[in-house]
Amino acid sequence: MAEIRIERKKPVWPWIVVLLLVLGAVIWFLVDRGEIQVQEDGQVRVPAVEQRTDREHIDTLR
Amino acid sequence: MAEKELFYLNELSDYKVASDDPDVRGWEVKDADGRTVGKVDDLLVHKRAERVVYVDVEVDHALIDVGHDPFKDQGGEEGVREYINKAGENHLIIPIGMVDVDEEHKLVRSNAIDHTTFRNTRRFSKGNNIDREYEVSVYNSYVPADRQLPEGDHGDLYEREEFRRRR
Repeated sequence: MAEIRIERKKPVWPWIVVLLLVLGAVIWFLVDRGEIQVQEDGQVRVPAVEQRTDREHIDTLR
Repeated sequence: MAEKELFYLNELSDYKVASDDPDVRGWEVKDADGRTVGKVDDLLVHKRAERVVYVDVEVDHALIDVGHDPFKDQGGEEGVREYINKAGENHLIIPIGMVDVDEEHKLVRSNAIDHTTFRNTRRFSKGNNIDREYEVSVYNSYVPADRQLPEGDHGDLYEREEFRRRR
């Protein structure tokens, strides 16, 4: 004969806290390495990375 | 007024079937002869005891349409009869202790109840609140005469073996 029990669903909020902590740690790590710069006016600046275009790449091959 | 004991699992958003037990919602229900009764639409749970006490079955059309006498006799006056079920009443409940769960084939088997009994069992419309009078009426239609209950409250109904796993 069957018996089926029920249980309370586990709360989601601890996972949200963990996610926020991980996100905070990643941002702190990137700021610490200088990959993200927080300016005095509060704006976040990501330094530009030089990328060659395909045209430039072709020119170097000539 | 007595505190509400029975809830549909689908309406309890903070509860789910325990991780060790099968969630039989959507599974086909077969009777003692292997004939289809319907499918499990929902589970009726006793919230305080944290366990399922009935499976709520959406009855198969074949069982509803099958040619049978849709009346029941009203003992006493000769010729006074009434419909057992009205149009749209296509759900019935089965005590959890009267079914076996076949996890391999995803089937719920009610080996103690045959097709004729299901045909003649009172049904209800989806989502209706189940009251004790209906529970006792259905219980009495499933069990032998010597186990049938008189009308009344029967607060210990779920302690009967039809609601328990046999050990």
